[in-house]
Amino acid sequence: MSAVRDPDEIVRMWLEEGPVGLPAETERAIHVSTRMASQRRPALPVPWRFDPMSTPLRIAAAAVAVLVIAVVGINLMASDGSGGVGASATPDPSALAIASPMALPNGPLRAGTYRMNPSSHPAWTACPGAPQPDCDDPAQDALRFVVDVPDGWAGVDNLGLWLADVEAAPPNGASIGFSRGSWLHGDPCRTDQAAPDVAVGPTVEDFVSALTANQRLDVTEPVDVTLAGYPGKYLDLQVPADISRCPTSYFVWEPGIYAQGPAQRWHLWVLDVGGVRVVVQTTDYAETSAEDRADIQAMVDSLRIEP
Amino acid sequence: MRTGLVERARDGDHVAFTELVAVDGGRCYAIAYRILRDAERAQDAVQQAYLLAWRELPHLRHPERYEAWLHRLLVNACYEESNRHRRWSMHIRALPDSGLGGADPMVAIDDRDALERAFGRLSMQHRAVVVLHHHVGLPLATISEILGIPVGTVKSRLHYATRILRAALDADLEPDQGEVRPA
Repeated sequence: MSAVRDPDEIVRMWLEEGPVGLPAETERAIHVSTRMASQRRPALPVPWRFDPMSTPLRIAAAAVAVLVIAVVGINLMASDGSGGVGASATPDPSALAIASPMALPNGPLRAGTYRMNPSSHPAWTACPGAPQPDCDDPAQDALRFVVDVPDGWAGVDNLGLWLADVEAAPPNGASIGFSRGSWLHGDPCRTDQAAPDVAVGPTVEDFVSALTANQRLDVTEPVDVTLAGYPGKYLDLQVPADISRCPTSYFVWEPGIYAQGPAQRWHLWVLDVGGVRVVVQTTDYAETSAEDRADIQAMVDSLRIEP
Repeated sequence: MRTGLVERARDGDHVAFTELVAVDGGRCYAIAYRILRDAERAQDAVQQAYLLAWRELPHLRHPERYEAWLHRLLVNACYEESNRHRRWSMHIRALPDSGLGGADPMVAIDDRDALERAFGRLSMQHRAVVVLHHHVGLPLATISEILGIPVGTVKSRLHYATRILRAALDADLEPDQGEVRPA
């Protein structure tokens, strides 16, 4: 006996699936953002200029402002270790301590040296999703990545950086990130409900061979490379100029970073770091500025991998 | 009760606004999720809609129309969210080992996949109409008011979307009817 098949009813039941309660963190975010935001009133209830200050009050305010600027300035000079006019040529130990790599936060960064620890991220694995019978990947939680970051960049999820203003979005974004490389999607244009269907072994060669063997991928010939003192292969991967037919996005491997837009280019260094496969990946577009490309190259050149 | 909260929030009472979020936030998230099919983007859309609602509330002349007004802000936030590039975050999903958690067992996995694919191909405007009608249960006239489009356009979008979704289900059924055919 088969059930009656009413398409509208099936659609309705399907729409019933999914979350219904607002996540607590979103509710908190709404609370905070609205508390900080003022309401737009139909007419301003207060004059657009405040009453002018009296002369004594103005002098006092100026004195406070000078004091604040001085204190902040002194603190800033101390914190970046740059010294300033009259600074001693020999940095003091506290300044050196501050100049050591900082943990990478999310969001826009000051120029400096940052350390990324991706091990806490669930994507730091060479196996897709839940444990797979055909994929054995012991946790690799020792590696840290240290990069000298110029101004204008932002940290993302302890896994990489992108341009603070345009992120990695087309037409001129750029990024640098780290992953392990994992199983591939035979067809990158799949819904995000699809599981990767091309099993990939744990070595550099396994991953690179899988990429080059996939006829749907536009990749360059892999070449031998050494980065941060570790051997591996380098290749480029070009995202098609039109990915509008892809239901959600363009996924190459999973867990992995999906294309941020059409015509994005991936530059991949697939490294063997003491037996652990690591993929250093940068992205850009044809319209990414020369300055931003130079920033990425400088970050790649500065990369240190702490085993 | 809601109208009173809206009036207080309109006058700048943030506590009242927080209560409104508690009352309606879950439904807004459910709608946004079903339109966008992405939890993070749905959360962003809801947050954006509420931020705009808080800012613009003093301009809402008829507090009793708050719900429809909020839905319009929400759907527009979904449209905007869909136009933004995707976040650069790792695509994480545990592969199901025995069905999908929380899924309606009445919807077969094949149907679910077919609907997911077909829905993914619909524009946000079509998705919004489908969700507001089939999930929220709003009549076409109310959807017309929320979206600011003629009722005829609502009908047309619903008709088109329904045709696409039905076709996906029918196509999904064809290769394997799920029953043993007589020889």
